[in-house]
Amino acid sequence: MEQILANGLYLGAQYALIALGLTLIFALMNVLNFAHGQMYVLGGFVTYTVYAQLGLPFIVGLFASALTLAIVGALIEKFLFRPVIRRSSREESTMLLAAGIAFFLDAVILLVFGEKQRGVPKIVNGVLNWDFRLIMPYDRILIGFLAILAIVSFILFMQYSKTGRAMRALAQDRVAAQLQGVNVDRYSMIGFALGAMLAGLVGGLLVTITGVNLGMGGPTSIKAFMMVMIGGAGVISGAIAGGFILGMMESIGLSVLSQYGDITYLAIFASLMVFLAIRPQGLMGKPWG
Amino acid sequence: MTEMLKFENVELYYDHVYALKGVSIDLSEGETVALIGANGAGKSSILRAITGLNAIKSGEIHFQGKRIDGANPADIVKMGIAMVPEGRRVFPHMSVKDNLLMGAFTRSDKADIARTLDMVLTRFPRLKERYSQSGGTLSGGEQQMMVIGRALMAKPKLLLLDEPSLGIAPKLVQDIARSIVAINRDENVSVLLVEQNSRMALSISNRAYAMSTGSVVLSGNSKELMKDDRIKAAYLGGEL
Repeated sequence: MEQILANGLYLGAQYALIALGLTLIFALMNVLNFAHGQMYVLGGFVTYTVYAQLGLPFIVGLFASALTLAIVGALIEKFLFRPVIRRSSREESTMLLAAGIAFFLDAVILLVFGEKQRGVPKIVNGVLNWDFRLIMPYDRILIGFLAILAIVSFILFMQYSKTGRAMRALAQDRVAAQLQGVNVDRYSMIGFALGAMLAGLVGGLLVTITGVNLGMGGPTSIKAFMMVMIGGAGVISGAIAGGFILGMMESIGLSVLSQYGDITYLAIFASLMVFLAIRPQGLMGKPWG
Repeated sequence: MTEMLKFENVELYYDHVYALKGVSIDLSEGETVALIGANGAGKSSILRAITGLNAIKSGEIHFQGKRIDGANPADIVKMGIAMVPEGRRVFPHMSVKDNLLMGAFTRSDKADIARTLDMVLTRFPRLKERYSQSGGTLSGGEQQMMVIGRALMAKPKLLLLDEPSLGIAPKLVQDIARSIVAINRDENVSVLLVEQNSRMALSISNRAYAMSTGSVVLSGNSKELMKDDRIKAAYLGGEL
């Protein structure tokens, strides 16, 4: 039991961080970022390059991932989404653009980093063993802790900083935010950069545990969308709840259902369909809680 | 009196439908000017043109001698124009405090912002009672006070009010009208007021423009307009 809970918390923290980035971009710009998983993969490869290839400290790799993706996110917003949103008010346009960016990033990752699965040296050795009730490698504990730290910092930033307040205002009422002097272009760019940065950060964190490969992008995007749908699109608390719920379900599924074969995600998808039929707006379905 | 706002021959279109056809108005420092007229007469379009929310097709808008048409809405707020939009547009999931602080977004002097916040809370004590409640849970009247307070937080020189009496309990309309007069008098703010409640608008303004289908049809001293037969018939329901 303790083992399942710990695994769920560890996974949930990573997932929540991914979902936060996705929901932030959606709330600010009404854009469904289908390329979120690819941004996560890119973050993983950056940390792999800096930490495993160049031999620099892990924390430098993590910063490099966050910074790279923040820049990539800002550029994508400024040169791709902004012009498209200006010309077309149809949501399909930005959806198609996001899907195109996903393919593009896949191709870039393939060209630059190749198609092989890459791993990095362990950041800490050793395993926590609590009476065989809870066994967890120290590196997982550290990564889980860092993810929770990032979530808490993000919430504090959104809640108490002037920039965070401006982004919340923009998400709640675009026109009213403009009338207070919020520059929509600038803050959309900051928001997109921040969302992409979170994806890159999780990529950098998780490469130490699961490694990284080109094929992880798509499935990660799908998981991120599931979390956001569970919690309610555009709601911070919803993204966090969705992340931890999916993490917990996956953890329970892997230990309880594994004897019946690989059906965890089948069960999760089936229950998600039932859940969304009953509550289509998700748990906290209102714009920004 | 120094001229604060000058609106010269402005045309504004929504897609291909005109909203303003060659409108000219002006406002001097310290004045309260009302724009009255029916729904769709173009009153709100004037405010949206001033704040830069809608681009104008031709004409010029000057604020304190500077041409502002074509400027970014955020920069216009910085110049000292704050707007209370129609339908209030509170930030529903933000506390009253954060709603008010958003108003001071373009300012950076923390001590000065704290002073303005104090002034707003003294002026609208109800907001103090509701300080940490989220904006969406307030009553219509309280929300209106909050968004007027939010606009004051920008320390504006010109305050634009779009239908502040809309959807407010009649008893509170009086309160709102009184606060507008007090703000104009005490805070060194000029006011441009858009209202369908013409009686209220004329009673608290110095001058007024009456509008109909995108043009100014009559203008003058508010007290005189109140007695004008045409105004009585068209805007005051003839029951004065």
